Amino acid sequence: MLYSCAPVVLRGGHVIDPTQGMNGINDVTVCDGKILGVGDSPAGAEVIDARGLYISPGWIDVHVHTYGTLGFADPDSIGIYQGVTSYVEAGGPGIGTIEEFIELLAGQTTTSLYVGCYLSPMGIIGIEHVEGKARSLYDIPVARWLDMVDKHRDLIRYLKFGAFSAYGTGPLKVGKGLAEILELPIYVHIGEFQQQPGRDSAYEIYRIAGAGDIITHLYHGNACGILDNEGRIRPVVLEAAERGVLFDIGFGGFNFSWPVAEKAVDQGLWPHLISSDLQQFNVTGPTFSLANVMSVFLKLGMPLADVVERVTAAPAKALSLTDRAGSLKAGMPADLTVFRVEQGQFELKDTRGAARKGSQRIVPEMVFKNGVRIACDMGRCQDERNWILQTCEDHIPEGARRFRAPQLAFLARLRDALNQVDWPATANPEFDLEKIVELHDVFHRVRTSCELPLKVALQTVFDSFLEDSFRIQVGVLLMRVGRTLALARLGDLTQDTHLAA
Amino acid sequence: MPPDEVGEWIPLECPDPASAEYPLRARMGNQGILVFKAADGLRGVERHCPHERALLTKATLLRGGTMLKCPLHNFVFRLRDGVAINCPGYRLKVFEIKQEGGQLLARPALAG
Repeated sequence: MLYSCAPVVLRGGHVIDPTQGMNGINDVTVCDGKILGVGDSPAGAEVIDARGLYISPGWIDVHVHTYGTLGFADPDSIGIYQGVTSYVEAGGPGIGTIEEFIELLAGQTTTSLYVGCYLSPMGIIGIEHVEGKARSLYDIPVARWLDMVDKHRDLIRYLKFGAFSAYGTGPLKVGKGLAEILELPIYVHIGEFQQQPGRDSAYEIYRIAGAGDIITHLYHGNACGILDNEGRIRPVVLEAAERGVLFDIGFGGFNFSWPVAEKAVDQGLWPHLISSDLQQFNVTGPTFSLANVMSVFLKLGMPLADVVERVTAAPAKALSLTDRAGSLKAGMPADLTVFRVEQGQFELKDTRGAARKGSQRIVPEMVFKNGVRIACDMGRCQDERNWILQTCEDHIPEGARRFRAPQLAFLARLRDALNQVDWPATANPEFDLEKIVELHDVFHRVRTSCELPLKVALQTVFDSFLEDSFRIQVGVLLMRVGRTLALARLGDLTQDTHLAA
Repeated sequence: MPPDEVGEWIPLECPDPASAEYPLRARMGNQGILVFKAADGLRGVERHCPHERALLTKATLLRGGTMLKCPLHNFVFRLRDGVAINCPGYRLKVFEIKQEGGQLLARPALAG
């Protein structure tokens, strides 16, 4: 057999691949970016000693944030560098911002990035009084949705929305109806931001969801949880599971409670999927990484092979990715995660401050991504520049010093157009969604009239206000910056442009 | 008091600042505050995060001691004026602190 590059064999590791019923010591060979096989390895292969390590298909995290108000400046820091070879942006963009997401991120991370679009056109804003409002669904352009999903079906893996127990069950039915039209599963948030718990409309999602749909934040400890007042799992939850609805963890910054998890496990209710919901507001704790969430499940008593199944085979099936991820079968892309299971005393916190002592901790060592070996670096994501989305107030960001004439001309026209808009002078808690949409529309109108490529126009605005490379909805960014600084900064940057004009 | 007016210096009820652990728990009248060793000396903040009222005794100083991070959800505030950095709309109450003859005094910091 001739190979275009030398095969690499990981020798003597503990291989866990639920798709092949493997759970024991074995050798895994990769070559030319593919899995060559598990078992016999070819002569002359480069050997990596994997004794004492576990080897599984590359982990898949169905719920992370790489874009928008929750996203990271360095998205791979929560991907390949933490043992995750594929992940899904859960709701950052909606139909109004998906093209921006695609320009800025699609195909631009080493980690395979997919997206679950948000039902609200702007995507997740992350402000409580905005998220639950029926008016936040201000535009459901079915024809545009159909065109977008047809064009990017490989990228778009589910439709996300929130069951916020507000405004009746209508928004849930709108979401499910649109997902049926688009032939996508729904992915529904049942966690924080429950606004009218007494109405209990959040529970309607268990009735609306069908086989293959996913409900996330299963063990959250907020209002409208899975347990009744006596701590029993609500029948509506169990009935959904019977019908084939999939339950996901989505640990998050607000949505994992040890007492809820322990009571659910005692009654036999486990999640089908384990995901992190990593975002700016939980990466330095309590979530840290998907590996940490997996360790939580070891503490809850789930066998290691089952934990691995819930971050490999199960999400691959749920996301229709079985042709490319979640298995070590020969011929599959060589996406592998190599990890240790450390023994000791480890504190595992939930999102409400409760802690448990675990005796095992999962620590990723390296990944292979399409056959390329990459060492994990669990601390990389902790860099403040990765998670503090900070506006440069007192100086012009470095990137803005490299603007060329077309960018400056665009900014000058953007300033003139924004000068006609009345929006708050500084960021305030009453984020006005309609104003965000107006600012967003102004950006696109000016960008189109200047014939500036979308990516260049977006980067120009980001570089005007941000030092680090966050990607966020432009309207949201301008609202966060505030009218005073936005107009002053654009004025400073384009002073000479105005004089030249 | 309007935010652009400087208040009176008020003595703090607190342990001996020379030997106490920081952040130091103190009281200014009815207001409980925490005193941190920040970039430019001592700085006081309200005891609880304005987001979900988490106690800030385990808050972390960032960016050379110019910012404070709430341990619960990573909400970051500028110690100069309490402005929220990554959580628009929230504001942390901050206090100027000075020491006179071993006694700590505080007054509300000016809004940015």
